[in-house]
Amino acid sequence: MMRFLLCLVVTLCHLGCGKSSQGEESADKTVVVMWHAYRGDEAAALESVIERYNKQAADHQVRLVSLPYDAMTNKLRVAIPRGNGPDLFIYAHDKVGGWAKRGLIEPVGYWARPETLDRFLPQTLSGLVYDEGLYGLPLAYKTLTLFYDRSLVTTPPKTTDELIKMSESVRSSASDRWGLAYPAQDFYYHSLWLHGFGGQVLPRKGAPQVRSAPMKNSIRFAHSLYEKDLIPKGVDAAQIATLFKAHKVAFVIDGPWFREHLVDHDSWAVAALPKVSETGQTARPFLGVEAVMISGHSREKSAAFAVADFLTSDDSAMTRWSTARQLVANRQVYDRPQVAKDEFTQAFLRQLSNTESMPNRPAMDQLWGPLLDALSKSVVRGMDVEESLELAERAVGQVVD
Amino acid sequence: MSQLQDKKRAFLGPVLSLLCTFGLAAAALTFYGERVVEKTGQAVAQSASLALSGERFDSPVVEAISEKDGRYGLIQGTPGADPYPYLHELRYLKLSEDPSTFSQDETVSQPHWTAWLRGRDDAQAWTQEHHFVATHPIDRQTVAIVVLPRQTIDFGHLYTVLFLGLLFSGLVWFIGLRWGTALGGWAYPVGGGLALLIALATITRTLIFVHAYGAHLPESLQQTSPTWTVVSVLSGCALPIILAIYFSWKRQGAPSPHRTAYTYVGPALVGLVALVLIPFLFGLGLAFFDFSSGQPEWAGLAHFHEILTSQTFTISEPLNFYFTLGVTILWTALNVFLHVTIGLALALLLNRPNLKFRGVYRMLLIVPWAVPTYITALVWKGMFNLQFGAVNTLLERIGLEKVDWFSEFWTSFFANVTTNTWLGFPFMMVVALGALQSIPGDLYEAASIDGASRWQSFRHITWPLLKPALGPAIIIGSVWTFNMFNVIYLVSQGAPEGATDILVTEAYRWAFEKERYGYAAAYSIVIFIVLVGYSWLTQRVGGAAEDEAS
Repeated sequence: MMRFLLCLVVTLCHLGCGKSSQGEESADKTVVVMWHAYRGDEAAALESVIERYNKQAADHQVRLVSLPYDAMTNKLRVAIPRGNGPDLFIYAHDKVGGWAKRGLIEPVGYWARPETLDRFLPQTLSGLVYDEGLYGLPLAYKTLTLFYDRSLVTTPPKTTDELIKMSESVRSSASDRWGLAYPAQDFYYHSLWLHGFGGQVLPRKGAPQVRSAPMKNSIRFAHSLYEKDLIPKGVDAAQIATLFKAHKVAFVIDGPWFREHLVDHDSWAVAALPKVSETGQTARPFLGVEAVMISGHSREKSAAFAVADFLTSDDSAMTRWSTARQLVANRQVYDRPQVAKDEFTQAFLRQLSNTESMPNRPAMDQLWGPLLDALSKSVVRGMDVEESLELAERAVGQVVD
Repeated sequence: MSQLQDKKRAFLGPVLSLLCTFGLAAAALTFYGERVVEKTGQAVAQSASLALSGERFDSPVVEAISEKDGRYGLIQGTPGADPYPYLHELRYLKLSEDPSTFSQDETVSQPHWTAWLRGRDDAQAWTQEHHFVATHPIDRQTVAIVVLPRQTIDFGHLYTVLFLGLLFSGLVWFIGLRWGTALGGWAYPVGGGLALLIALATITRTLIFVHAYGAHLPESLQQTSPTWTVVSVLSGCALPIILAIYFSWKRQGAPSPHRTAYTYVGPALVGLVALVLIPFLFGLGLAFFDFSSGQPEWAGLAHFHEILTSQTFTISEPLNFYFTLGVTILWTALNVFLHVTIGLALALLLNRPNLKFRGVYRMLLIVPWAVPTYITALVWKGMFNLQFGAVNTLLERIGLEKVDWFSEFWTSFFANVTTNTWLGFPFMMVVALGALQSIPGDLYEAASIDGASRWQSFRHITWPLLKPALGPAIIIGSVWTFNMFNVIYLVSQGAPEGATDILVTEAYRWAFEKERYGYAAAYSIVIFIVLVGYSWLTQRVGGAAEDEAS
């Protein structure tokens, strides 16, 4: 009995071996599969653009598949090499380096002519370049900027000294009011001070610079904000939003996702981040670019590029802005009257010229955890800066690229 | 059964299993071979498209570009050179060209020609000498074709195949030895015949594949790491051979009377093997590889060495293994002590006769255990929040200062212990209650007649009779607490900076936050060894205690 079952198992294994995978083909049109992690308005915008595309496409159709954001990288990494992945997908640019190295994404330089690339804001393209190849077309960008409450502060600060002075006056005006609120131990936010002090955590090539002088100076600066009691301790993003809505904090540093909290707020305003007084350089936050990338194992790469091209056209970008208020990467959109009038969008456009593209090297992944630990020790709790950074450097270990 | 029949059967077994191995190996080679050829085609297409994108012409591979007819030219390269390991020759095929004249000595078939016209990236063709892959269309008139020599099959997976094949065949042999005579004479030939047919079919298929695709077996075998082949063959053989020797040595005479029992246990055993043993073995295998570069690289015992010597971090730093081990042991000991104390105290209270609403109390006291750990942990985390938590609000009301619970090790540890104690005491309470109720009441009557105090009757009657029930409960409880991932991960999240992380949460971070899978697998194996050592120790102590009691 057992032996029979075992033989059966062997037979079945053998039968499975003969299969060879084919691309999907319906009778008339080939299907191009696209993965995304959009929800709500952004998903609606994407769907309407793709619907327009499908109507005018001659020999292929796009099928959208939505995935949870957290699962995207894992699924892509596992499915694409096995041939089960999409033909193209939408994701942030920070994994481009690792994916390009493993051949999971296709360089678009073959199809993209200079005229194609001319339509984009130049800063949004640099994040998609790895090892001299361009690996996707940008859809939208995300960065940080300064929000402030006009009922507490009349003009935005131009330098960090001004920021500190204004925060102090707000703080002393009432015990439950705070000057500035942002997640200080999160390196994504702290990096804007690091860049303002002239530092860079991961250059294009070479080892990470964890114990550089700008890093130490930026940490001392951020800690001084805590020492002066300008920042509330132990608050997370949700609590910061609550404080801002209750007019209890004058300045908040956050990104375009903060928009939803401003709906009922009557005195909000946006400004560019200030210059760091010690160095005279502007505080420059990380720039994240959301791009559409083509799978390296796709069988319909040319069709996939046509879809990507359409998705990043100026008209589609306008749809994405008007439906979901995405900060699109197309230059021309910002001149259109509706968009020119939107203060929120224009503020981020102004901030864009003072950003640093988030490194897309695989080594970046190893830095977040240790830096979080180092920052929460040195910035929030005031422990020794040298020691914390030294431990962080050891925790990062050897970077593999 | 005659002697001759027995001899024949003993001979058939190994032969059939050897054929099964070969069959399985051949099947897998076919499968993998096809996959590799397909992957090669894709890699080729990618290399070519990189070359065509016009950005890599300064690379040493591309020697000459000749401009011809405006845009195209012939690129010649050195095969095998980085970064175009597959690029041999790039040709541009114009629509008007006759495919039969494409190369001097070969012809390419019509279906492939059509596929190339469509510019599909997977269009491939093979001839005796060459392998052709189509890449993107240059324009409507021209398609780029990459020409390369016939690729050898990557036998990198050979060791897996051999391991499985030999394991499988060894199991067949072992089963034959075990149950051959018991099942009667007919099972062997039928099963064996089937196995033989499958083996022949796959052998034939492999030979066709080898001939058609020109796999160069000898060179490919050379490319496989010899260590791996030897290790896998040996380990594949070892297990079934050990089992076979053991059982054939034991079974000298009649078939085992426990056959029915084995049949009933069989399905559960299969489940256990599939869901516990195989993942465990897989994890064990993972621990010997390094995944930092994205591809598995052999690391041997490097991970274990790194963990156990912990040279990068001093003993007082959270990422040091011994620091985490110390925290985990402290965590376990403290929690189990509190669980048992509180659980036993409550059980003693609930065990009083004539207690009103005993059922209600019991139900309320089981609620902490019944609510899902995840929810409890998040609720407690909220209660310990600095600004808005219930605990700090209470402290303020009493007049004390607010405490930043998760900024110091001891306060954070205290928060974790509180949560876990709240979660864990009902289990001990229920066990103790059950054990208490089995103690006959006349013992207490006799004791009170003799004038024993409450404490004395507890110490001499209750406690010795509780130990057999509490003993296993404590062992289970301590293993659960040792591995209590939920509470640590959700309540303190290892704050501050990983200090309150226990071994399991640390392993999780290594695997999924730092993506060092090999290291995390090694970490889990070390945790397993620690727990095995602990169980062995408790067995020794428990066994000794039992001997003492009896």
